Amino acid sequence: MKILGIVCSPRKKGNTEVLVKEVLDSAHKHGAKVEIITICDYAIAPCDGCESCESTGKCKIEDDMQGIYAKLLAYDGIVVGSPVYYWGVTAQAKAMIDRTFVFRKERRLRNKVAGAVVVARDTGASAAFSQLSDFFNLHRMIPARSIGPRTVEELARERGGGVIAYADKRGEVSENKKAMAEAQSLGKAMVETIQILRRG
Amino acid sequence: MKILAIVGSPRLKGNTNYLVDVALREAKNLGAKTEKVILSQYEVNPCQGHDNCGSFDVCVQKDDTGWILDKFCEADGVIIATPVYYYNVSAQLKAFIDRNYFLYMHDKKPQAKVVGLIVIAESSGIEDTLHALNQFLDETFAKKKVFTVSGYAGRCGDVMNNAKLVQDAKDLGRQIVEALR
Repeated sequence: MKILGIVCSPRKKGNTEVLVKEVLDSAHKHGAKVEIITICDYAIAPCDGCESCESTGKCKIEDDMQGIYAKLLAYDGIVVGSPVYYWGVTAQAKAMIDRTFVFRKERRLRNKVAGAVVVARDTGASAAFSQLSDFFNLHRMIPARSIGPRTVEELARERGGGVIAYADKRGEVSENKKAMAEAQSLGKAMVETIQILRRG
Repeated sequence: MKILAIVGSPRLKGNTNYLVDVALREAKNLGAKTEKVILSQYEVNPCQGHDNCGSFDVCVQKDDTGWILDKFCEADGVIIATPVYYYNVSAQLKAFIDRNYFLYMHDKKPQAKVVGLIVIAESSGIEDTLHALNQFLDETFAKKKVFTVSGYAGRCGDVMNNAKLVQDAKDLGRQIVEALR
């Protein structure tokens, strides 16, 4: 079982990265192999709307997204994290999302388990969270769900399918117990959801 | 009277561009000076998020965004147009929107008093996209009147067969000019 974390913040060691790492650490603790990548380390051009992928099944833009495509297909679970810029995910995240159009027709990401991590300074978190949920849904991915036994307290410390946190200074979210608990819960839920799907 | 259109569609002959041209042509016929910037024709990189814009007189990223933002600030009226990709603006337009943070951090507001929005979707997502754009406008412009054109079109040029949308775009051009008079 392999879970990929995609950080879509341009800030190194920022709050989004802290939370995605926490999700992955938790998933690892529960038995998954994990990898984290930062989208801003890659050159990803925006989709140019040619739609040639509709007939070829491939994207003609030869850039680092080709490597990301391979990763997306290879992993069982994908957690995408983005800070909120102007009431939405970052332009970097949006470029990656738009480029996944190549997978849409055949729903090649179908049944992969998805997690969303959104960090806002003050507003826009719900809009960005919806944006990621809609992205997963379009690909028929499955939002992570806490399927195994949970205490009422544990259920209170989770947000279905993702994490929403408020933070500003670099890395300060690691002091936010509620957000970190949500992230740990998401990691565990991703593993459980993948297990259920495997059992069929 | 200067009207600037910022276009987030990468398709030069697509439906969004077509409607922008209709709106600008009408505005020009009514006496406005018009200009169109198609973002995909230039280098508009995403914001680097260092949050330190205040320390610099110009954004440290040396790409085309600087002069485009200058024009954006100087225009009397602006049109912002985008196709809907994944229930929101295109990544090209999102990069431009995010780069407006430099203006925000310098407390600089574009002077346009009238804004036209053109949003074209294949089948869904118009509401989310307009919501995102209106949030951006509220944050970015001091005081503005907003006119909106939105509708559905898929393949390049489909919109030409949609008489109502084409008329809406023409009306948008006229409304912007009249509101600026």
